[in-house]
Amino acid sequence: MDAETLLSIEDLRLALPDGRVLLDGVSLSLARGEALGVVGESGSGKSLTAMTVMGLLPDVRSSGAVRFRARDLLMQDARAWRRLRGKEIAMIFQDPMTAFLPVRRVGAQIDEQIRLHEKLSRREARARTVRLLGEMGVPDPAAAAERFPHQLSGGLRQRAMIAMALSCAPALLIADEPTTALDVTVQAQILVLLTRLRETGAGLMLITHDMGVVAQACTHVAVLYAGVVVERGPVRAVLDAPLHPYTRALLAAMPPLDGPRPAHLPAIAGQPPAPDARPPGCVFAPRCPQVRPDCAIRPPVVRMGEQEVVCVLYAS
Amino acid sequence: MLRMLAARLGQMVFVLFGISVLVFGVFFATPGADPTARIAGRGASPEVMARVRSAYGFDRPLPVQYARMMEKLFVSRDLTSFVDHGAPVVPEVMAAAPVTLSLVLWASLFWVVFSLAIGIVSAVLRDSWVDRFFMGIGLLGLSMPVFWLGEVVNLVTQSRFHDTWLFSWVPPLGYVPFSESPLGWARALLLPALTLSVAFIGLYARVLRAELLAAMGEDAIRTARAKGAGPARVWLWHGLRLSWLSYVSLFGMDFAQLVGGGALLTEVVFALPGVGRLTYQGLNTLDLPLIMATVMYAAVFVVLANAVIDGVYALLDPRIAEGRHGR
Amino acid sequence: MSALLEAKDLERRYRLRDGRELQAVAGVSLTIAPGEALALVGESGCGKSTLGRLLLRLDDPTSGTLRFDGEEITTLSERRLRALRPRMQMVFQDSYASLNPRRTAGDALAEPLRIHRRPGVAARVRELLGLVGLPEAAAAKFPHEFSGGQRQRLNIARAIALGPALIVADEPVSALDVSVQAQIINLFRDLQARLGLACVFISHDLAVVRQMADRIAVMYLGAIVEEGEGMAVLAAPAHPYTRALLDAVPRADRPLPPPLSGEVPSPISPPSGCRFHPRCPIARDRCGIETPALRMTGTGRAVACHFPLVSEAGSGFSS
Repeated sequence: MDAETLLSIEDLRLALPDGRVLLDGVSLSLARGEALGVVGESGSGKSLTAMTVMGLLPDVRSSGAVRFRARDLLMQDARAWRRLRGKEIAMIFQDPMTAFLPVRRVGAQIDEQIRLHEKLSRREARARTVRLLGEMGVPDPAAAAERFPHQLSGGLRQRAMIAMALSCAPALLIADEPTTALDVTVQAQILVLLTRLRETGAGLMLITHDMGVVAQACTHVAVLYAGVVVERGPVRAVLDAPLHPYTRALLAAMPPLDGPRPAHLPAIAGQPPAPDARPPGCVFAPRCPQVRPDCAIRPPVVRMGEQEVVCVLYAS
Repeated sequence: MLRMLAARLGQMVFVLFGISVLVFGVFFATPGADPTARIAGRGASPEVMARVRSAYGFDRPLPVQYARMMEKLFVSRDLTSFVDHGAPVVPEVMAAAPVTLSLVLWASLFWVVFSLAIGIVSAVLRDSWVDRFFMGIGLLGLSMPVFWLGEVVNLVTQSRFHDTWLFSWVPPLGYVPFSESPLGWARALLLPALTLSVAFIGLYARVLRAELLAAMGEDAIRTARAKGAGPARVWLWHGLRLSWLSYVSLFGMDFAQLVGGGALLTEVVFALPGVGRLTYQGLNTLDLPLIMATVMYAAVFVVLANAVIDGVYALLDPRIAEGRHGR
Repeated sequence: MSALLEAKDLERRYRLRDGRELQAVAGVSLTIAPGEALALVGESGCGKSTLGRLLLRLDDPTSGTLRFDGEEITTLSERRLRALRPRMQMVFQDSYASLNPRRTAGDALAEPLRIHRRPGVAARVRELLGLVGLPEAAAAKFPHEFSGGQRQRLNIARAIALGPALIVADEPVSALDVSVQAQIINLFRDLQARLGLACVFISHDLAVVRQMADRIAVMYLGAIVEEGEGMAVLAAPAHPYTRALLDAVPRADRPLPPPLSGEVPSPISPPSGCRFHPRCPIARDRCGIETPALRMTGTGRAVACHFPLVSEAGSGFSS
């Protein structure tokens, strides 16, 4: 792992106490100034991966390694986690309405995070809060800090959320579906904001179900299916030449915005498997158009140029 | 804001009016019942009957009777108890009120402190033996009738073990006004208040535990942890903040109900001359003026408490102040 | 061909508790031909869902008229409407909330048939399951035993049970994952072709709308700002808002153009003149004063803009 690598997850597996497997081999890496899109459908484990990096999953058994700046996060104690969260790794959530405490003013909630990690007076913390809100494009930031979450529009709430996440200048920002609850025109504004963030040298991990969002805001992408990273690589490479049948099917299933309109969208038949009914071999095999007998054994990770793919089609 | 206050005030007056009409109707306008005989008490002489009839206007139409009654209750305040040979009722209630208020203040202090402690500890240690123990005790406290518990307390502290070092400080039953002796006041109320609070501790601890655990599943709590807040801060600062709305409203209603005379059994058992005991006496002797006065007094407290709760609600949750909840 | 549904100047106002008024739908006129698929597109608060409910008389318009199959239904009594209900149905976004969790899929499908005393209930239930691509065994299952996509199939089956002429579907695929979403989009198009259904799709997603509908109507703050043939509108939007909406969609093949500033204003106090003018990149003085009417611009396109982006012919940019 080179010096620039911020986060590397190696073969992370998570299971519930009752034995149900949630993540079944997630490997990712993220360098400074990069933005990694973690794409998958609901139940693929993309949010779980993020929560693991934040240490916010209490009752799971985990194996593998989550390394952040050469520290293994899974090995650290509760105090170390607390110092890390909000300071070195910060997170923003899908619904800024419920993510903020509804009964306290937005500014006070941002001040709280600053003062949790730095010895600052209330006044100094508030000055930073107002500055951050302003930088996030919140009009009249001092007044906005005095509002309650429900008094702000959805877009402003998410900007305030991002301001809070950035308040202690974290090295890594995790955004879990940050634009899903927003209208498209507001989503575009937030994506611009997130893209600008990368220029500060921080790393961004963007959890999303939307390939378009990944294309816009990320440099790298990892495609998750049923708790397994099936393909990862630079965004351009993966979007231009997807290797895994699932990645291809996912891209093909998106209705096009221009060009001819297909009479039928190439949908993927069936449903993703439930966590307790995952196939032992390739997790995508039951829905895969190119399934073969050797898919019954979990395929190895194959390196193809800049991309990595987990599929028998590329195993030599 | 002013308009809201005015509307609220009008609403309160309207509710009180409704209650007074209802109570008046039940006791005085029930067909076949002669209120004169009831007010005059059992075995009254014909002269007394005649005096009562004209004083209350029972020979006049119902609205006049009602107006006369309210006037006697609120304006001239000379409504008299005929059972008690002409003792005015309103000063009696006013004299009883501080006793009840003192008792309920002490009790609520106990039940808030203990239920907060037990509720939070049980929620944090949910499903552990500590939690099960506390919830078991809480259920026990909830299901013990207060008059029985009071008698047991009396038995233990007044007679059986009164002369041991443990309970020799316990004063005889009855009330000591604060102005007379603050220490005596506190000593006289300690055991009654504890007895009264037991059931509430059980109930409130359970409610708080359930609300806290529900709040801990909220997105906002996840955010608090993601910010790097420690467990104490997450539970007490964020969790409580989200979950004490129903606790507060429950408290307001119970407090008002008790001050209004709901602590009747405790007052009777511990011989405290409060509003509850007064109501109890009134009911025993069918002293209608006294009942009318105590019921109206209770209604005023409940309605007032409701208004206070709404105000506190708006302070605790700004979304309510604006008349919208959630989105 | 005569219109199946014809709405004229439909308006819906809500009175708020503080006495102010919210104009959710501000004078919308549109027609839907039999078998046609129309989409109502816009951001949250544009009134598309309210309009959808008005079209089925699930909500009463404050003013305006509504004709279904030639019959005026604007003020039809609830009892008379009930006779029309089998011909107009609705599908909602939340597939779970619209099903009774304690009743099997078979019950859910049989219920409308029994209410309207249709013969051969059992056979019809089997036929409906087949139409939406569910196995016959699904009839005995409860809603929670289905996946989101399957539940939405079930909702669609229930909506078509009585053989309606019109279905209004409010965000029917937006809660679904991409791979499942494609299945449901295909299902809608199949059913439309096979049963000659007219559909109104309500959606915020332009790509989904393009795939599902023949004609689209773009709404902003309660009013239609542009309407026309779907592919044409999205290939060359005439209204600056349609353009902005299209530009805001994150896509793989181009970087995001600079997004619109600000957010949708409150429908309680909408801007004067053209409602879009405060956010419009090409607004001029006139836009703040004069409200543009929805005008036909030739080839079946209607635009409510003083300075539309495309000329009459539907191609090229105006100065």
